Amino acid sequence: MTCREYQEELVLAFGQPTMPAELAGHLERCEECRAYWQDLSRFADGTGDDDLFAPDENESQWLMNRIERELDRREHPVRKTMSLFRYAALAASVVLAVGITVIGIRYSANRGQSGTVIVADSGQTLAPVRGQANTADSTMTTPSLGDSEIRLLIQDYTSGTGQGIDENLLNGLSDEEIKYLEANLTKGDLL
Amino acid sequence: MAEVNHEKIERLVARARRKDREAFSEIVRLLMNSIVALTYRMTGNREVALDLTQDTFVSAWEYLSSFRGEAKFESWLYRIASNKAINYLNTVKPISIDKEVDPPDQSVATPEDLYTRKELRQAVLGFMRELPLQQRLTFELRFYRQMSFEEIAEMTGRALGTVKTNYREAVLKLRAFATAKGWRP
Repeated sequence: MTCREYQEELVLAFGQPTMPAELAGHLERCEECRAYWQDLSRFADGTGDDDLFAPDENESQWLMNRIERELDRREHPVRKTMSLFRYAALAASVVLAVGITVIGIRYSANRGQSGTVIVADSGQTLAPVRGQANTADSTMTTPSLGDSEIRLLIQDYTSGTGQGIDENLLNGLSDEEIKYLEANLTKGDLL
Repeated sequence: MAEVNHEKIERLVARARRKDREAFSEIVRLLMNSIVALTYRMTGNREVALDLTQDTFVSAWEYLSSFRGEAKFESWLYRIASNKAINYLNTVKPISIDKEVDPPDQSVATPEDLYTRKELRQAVLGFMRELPLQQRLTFELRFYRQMSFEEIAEMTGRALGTVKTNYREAVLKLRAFATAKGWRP
């Protein structure tokens, strides 16, 4: 090997505690390479070690605690417990939801039962009519119908080809009641 | 450089693999300084180095079961720390070197010594910063961690010749840097 090649190998040995025997032997014999190595070694001696960059005692302890805490956290993830206030708020929400549902159901049922009762001229009760609160209200809101229109409605229903506009009104009537209505119902009766 | 008893580490690792936290804490105590130093020199930032050190040990604890013992535990730990430092450097550019906000160094006796050590620390950080990332890593692992070129090649996934070239260039740059800055160790 030439001195240049030896010096390249010396660079690779920089900073190491031991040196290959061949290199060490060459250094004993070659003054130029020995000088090169001594110059290089000075930089190794003064480049510091881990102590130069390590944390001091307090910082070490602080970092140690930080690591321990993080390991604890990973090992035992904290389960969030609900406070009493949160439990109370949750219970109140459930009660409120159930209450609203029950009231809604009962209200719907009451509306169904309190439909307008149609009374024929003779005073006979015919059938409940869903969807109308009371007779007085229906008087105010029901549009006027002529006799011919009422007949068309009844025919529409009884023919089975109805458009559906009157089905709710006549649900539950027997054939006899339908015939009665056809024969006797007038605009005045309906209103 | 503080010597760590390798056999003691191996015994502690065997216990830690059985989820012995006390053993792992002892490992942290023994190797913490070298990981802080490695990440500090790699990133040039002390706060970042402390964060990366914590991350390194937490990862080591979590993945200890994957350590098969084929290499030295310290090398495995250096690999984790190096990867974290490189990931950090790849996501945060440019790196900001500390302006010496270190806590007082209690290991030195006189203000003159303190000044010298601070200057030396800054000089080393400045030099490391000048090196391309792979040269910096190679210099760190070879010079400070005393790893063989073969170990470094295996760890970094580079060819042996490339690792040697990186180290040679880093050493020559150190010489040139120190001479140019009037830093004559």
